[in-house]
Amino acid sequence: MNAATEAAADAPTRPPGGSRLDRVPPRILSAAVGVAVLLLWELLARTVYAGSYRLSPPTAVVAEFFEFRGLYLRNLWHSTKTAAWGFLWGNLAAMALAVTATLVPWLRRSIGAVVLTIFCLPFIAVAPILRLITGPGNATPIALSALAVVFTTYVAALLGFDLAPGSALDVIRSYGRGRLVAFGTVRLRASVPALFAGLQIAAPAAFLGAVVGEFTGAHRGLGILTVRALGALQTDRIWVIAVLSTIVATGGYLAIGALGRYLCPWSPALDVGAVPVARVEPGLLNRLAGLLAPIAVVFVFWYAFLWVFGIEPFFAKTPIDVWAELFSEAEAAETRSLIFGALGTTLWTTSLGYVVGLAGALVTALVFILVPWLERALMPIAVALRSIPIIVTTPVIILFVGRGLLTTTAIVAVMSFFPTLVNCYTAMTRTPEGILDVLRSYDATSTANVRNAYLPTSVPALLASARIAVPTSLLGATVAEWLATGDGIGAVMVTAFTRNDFKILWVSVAVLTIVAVIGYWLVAAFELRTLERMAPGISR
Amino acid sequence: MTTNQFSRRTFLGGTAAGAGLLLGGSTLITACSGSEPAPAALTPVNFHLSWFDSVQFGGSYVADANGHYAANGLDVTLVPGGPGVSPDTSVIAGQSIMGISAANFAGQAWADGAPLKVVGVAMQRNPFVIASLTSNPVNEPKDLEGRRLGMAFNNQLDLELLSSLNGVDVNAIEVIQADYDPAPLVNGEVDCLLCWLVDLPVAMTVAGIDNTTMLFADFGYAVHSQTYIVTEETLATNRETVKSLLRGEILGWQDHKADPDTAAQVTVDRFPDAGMDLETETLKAHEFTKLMFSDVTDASGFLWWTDQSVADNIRVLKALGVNVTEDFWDRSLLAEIYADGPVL
Repeated sequence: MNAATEAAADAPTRPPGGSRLDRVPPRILSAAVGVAVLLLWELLARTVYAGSYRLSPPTAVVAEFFEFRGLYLRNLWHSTKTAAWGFLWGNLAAMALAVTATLVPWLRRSIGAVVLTIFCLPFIAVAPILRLITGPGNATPIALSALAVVFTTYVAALLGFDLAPGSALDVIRSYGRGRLVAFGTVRLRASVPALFAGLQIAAPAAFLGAVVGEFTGAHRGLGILTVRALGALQTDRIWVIAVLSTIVATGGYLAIGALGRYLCPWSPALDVGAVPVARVEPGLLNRLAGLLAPIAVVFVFWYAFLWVFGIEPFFAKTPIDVWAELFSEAEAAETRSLIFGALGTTLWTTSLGYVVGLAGALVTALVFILVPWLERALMPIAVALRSIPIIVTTPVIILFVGRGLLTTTAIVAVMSFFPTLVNCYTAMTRTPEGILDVLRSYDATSTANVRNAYLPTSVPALLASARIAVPTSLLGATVAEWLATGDGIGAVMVTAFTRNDFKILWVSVAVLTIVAVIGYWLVAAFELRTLERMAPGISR
Repeated sequence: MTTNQFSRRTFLGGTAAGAGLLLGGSTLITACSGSEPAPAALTPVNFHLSWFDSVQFGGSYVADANGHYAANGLDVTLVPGGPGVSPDTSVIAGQSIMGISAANFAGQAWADGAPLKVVGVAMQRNPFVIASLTSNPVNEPKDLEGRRLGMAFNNQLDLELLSSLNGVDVNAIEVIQADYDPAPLVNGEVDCLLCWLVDLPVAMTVAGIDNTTMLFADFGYAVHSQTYIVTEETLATNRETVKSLLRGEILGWQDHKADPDTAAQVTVDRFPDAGMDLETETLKAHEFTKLMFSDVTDASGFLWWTDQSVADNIRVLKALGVNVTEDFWDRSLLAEIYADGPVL
């Protein structure tokens, strides 16, 4: 399985279990929970939700799949193929960038800024702009899918290259060989575990990109089939698609994890979500350069993008246009109140969901540590749920929460909950045995264990997850606003492109991206300070 | 459909085409579903539809199947739309020679300086309706007051306009976001839906749910829908190609009108991956025929519109905040096409 379940195998790090359930094999526990969930689902669908066009019973879902299996498999194949192409190109690009950043260290910060900016771009507004460049065909879904994976793979690959053992690098250096040789002989090999951890996260992300891409016009695919099914009251169909997407996304996640362990059986599983942030060099000048250079690079890329693709002025807006639209045009005040009003709504609902998701994840991780049988029963499900595309979760959340501001909050909470849970729990299981021994010798209570051992060891993972969750939460919020609530900046963006209002579209993209990048850096700065204070020298 | 849509049709120079091919490794595979390569003599054009493949464009599929495009010298790729794309942009960017839009969307782009022209109007009566359950019907705009209405958020202006045209207090309507989905109405989460006549109501009818529809067009909402748009530049440099495309369209829709059942069959057969239901699509094909043909088209031909309807559109669009003039419409191509009478 993944890091969590693997860590679960290292029994000594867990507290001594008290429950008889701890002796039940994990597979059986998980299977029992799975069967219970299916039974409850069937029961609810046949009773409370009977006759409503919301929840289909599992038996009906299976029957629907087999009746139209050709249709489902063709559409699934199409979306998966699109995602696979995006996965390939996006990861190749990420690898190339990571290699460049490793071999040419002074480029590192600028590449990082560009990659982070791509990660922070709101998908739903980028899709129509990409469609404008690529024209009809499958290129837009593939490109979106590729963009969705660049950041996480870049970070993972970079971490992997950096994890190369210093002694091996010293040997290369002592033979008078340069960076390139060091790279080929040591760094590349050392990067495999981290790289595969990154690719694991990339698989479901690529799938989401492909499905959103289909909304910009395609003949087939699961995204389109979903929209058709919604309009035609085909509830069974929606649930078949949800189940298939979950299976494919989770399958990709698990398969890549297995491949990584096959290639690199000696190394512990890593989780990229838990990678600490890189340290900024001390000194005011360095800080300023470190801040301004990447921003400049991003703006250069913006202009280059418009110029390379020769986008017509009606669509193409430069940073200056965006600035004018916000601050100097006649209707600037109106634009500001529209954009910032909507942004306020989005940020409010998003941050609420973000905090609930992170706090819930931390508490759940602690519960899992203290009640091991619960962890063994539920963790595999959490691992699966973390890779479900949001397009699929949205209708399910609407079912339970309805269509209001709370929907966005719930979706954001769910999106940040699962990755954080897995990361924090994994970190807690790696609590040094020495600390636990000391606590045990004092007959410490579980509360004391939590306070003195598990909570502190999970802090780096929690902060790293919190940082990654900033852009993904905003992505989730805008998709939710589009599909479910019709509020906030997500709705502004969709209205803008349906009305061909490219000024508002670009302003929204720029503002939202800047907010996401700032949010990311704020959490990163907090993370750095906290880690320095907790364990100076550990953060790199 | 042709074999190499991407490299041939891209509107960009070499760089972008290269980048596109790089990204679109599978474009070549996906683009060639359908018919065999067209003879070299045919001019390839993209025609951008306003939604996913749907019987709403049945006449176009019939035109293709019956060879009306080819007979007019064209190899037409019918490009699907979707919720994340605007056909107007595809036309303005020159990726598609013609697109299907609505007077309010294309009009907004026109007012913002995009050089668009309307050269055909398939739905002179706007297809927007308020759909409700027959047990709790909305028969006229006044009935909306005090009710919960499910609609897509970008229809807010349309609702406000309908309200002001009919003296309805828009603040008395509780709007709930609901998009492409009749389930909220059927499940009682809302009392009515703002949607298309030939869409969610048909789905409900097929599911055996009695429903009532109130057509916006019957209450002063005069906005041309399913309008055919091109750029001024295309009209200046490529007028004959546009006319050929319109001719093919008209012939296809004439066949559709004569036999909606076959049009539905052609649509369902053409898109096996869409999971369409023949019974539903047949019902829709008949409804669309009613929306697209009228006394005006009987007298003057499919896609024709009257001066009166342009005046009504200008007035209503102005109320929607979209300022267009008569220059936005150009009927000269249809006038030439129909020189010998309203049937080709």
